[in-house]
Amino acid sequence: MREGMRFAGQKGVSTDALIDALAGDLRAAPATSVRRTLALAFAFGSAVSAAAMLWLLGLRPDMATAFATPAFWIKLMFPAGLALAGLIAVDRLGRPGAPAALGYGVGIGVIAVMALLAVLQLAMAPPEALRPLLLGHTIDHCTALIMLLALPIFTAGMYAMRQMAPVRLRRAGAAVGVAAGALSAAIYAIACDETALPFVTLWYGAGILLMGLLGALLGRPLLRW
Amino acid sequence: MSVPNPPLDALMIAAQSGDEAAYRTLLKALSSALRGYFARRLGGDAAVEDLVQDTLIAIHERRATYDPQRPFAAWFFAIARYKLVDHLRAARRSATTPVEDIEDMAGADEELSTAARLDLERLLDALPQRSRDIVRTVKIEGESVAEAAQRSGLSPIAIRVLLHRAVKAMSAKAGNSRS
Repeated sequence: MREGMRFAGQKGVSTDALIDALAGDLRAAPATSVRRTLALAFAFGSAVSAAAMLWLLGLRPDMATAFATPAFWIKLMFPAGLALAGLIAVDRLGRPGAPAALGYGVGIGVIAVMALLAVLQLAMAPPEALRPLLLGHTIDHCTALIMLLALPIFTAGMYAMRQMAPVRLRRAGAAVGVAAGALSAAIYAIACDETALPFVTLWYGAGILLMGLLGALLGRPLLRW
Repeated sequence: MSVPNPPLDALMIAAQSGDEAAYRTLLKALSSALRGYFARRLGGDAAVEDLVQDTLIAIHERRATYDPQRPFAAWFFAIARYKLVDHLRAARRSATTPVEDIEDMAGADEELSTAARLDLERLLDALPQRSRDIVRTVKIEGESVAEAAQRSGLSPIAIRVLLHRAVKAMSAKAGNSRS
């Protein structure tokens, strides 16, 4: 079936000729060049997303005082930790044969710590405070905005992953999605004045998770090589 | 490198820094490893040599994704396995071509030359502009690779690789709709 199509009676390139051609085409391709591509892509996507955040939302009104509160930093650590986990997994899953366990481990660790803190905060709160702790006052747009702001990062990240050599396409797509969602959530955290950890865990977490799912779905069609 | 037969890891690291002789040795060794690997899994299938070439091109284009800190064999066989699975998946897809296509094909036999020309045009149209021009001039009009290289400003190697891919893409497409 395949060898049925040779055009104008010519045979395809022989393997020896191909090896000659490839060897003649050799230019230095250090392993660091790949990491630079990844770093540039995610940095560029994040810059676009940050600009969009400033344009759409601006900084949170109480920015100056918020910086001094531990809640602000704990809230930022959650997406920042997941972004780190996602980026480690992206780097590993883009290289054939490299184990990605470190990325998964960091991700699970960050989620476990955050979930524990959220549960503690819920356990110590009076019953009438549970609802605001869980639902906040921005639940109608928080998750959607995180996903929207993740799109430029996701696009740049998928582009970078296409330059790599992922062999598990769904996982590689999911890692790009989680990294993009988490970076976007970290950027969004600067505009959002919610401080309840249960809220952040649930609704930031949902945005990051949904971006991971989107990446998993698009992994096969977009990353095949 | 005084060892007569340097390990593949060392060859690959040398290749990544631009050592052409090491790279040639490496590709030769890899091509026979790949031939064995694919032949064991596909039997005497004619696709073996195509897969070997495809995988060599993939290794060439993705060579920067090899991390010198890690074992080369893991990187290499992960790529070989990926290419094998990708091939099997594509083969299964084209094996389940709907019946209408086969009937189309049976009916088309009478006007073979027109049909072949139309097919060729259709397949060519699906290629990117640059590849289409190269296939047209080299494979159909019979220009040499060197001439095509000079005219297009691409290296002869780039022309060969583009040709290889274009012919494969067209065969795959032809296989999909006419098998």
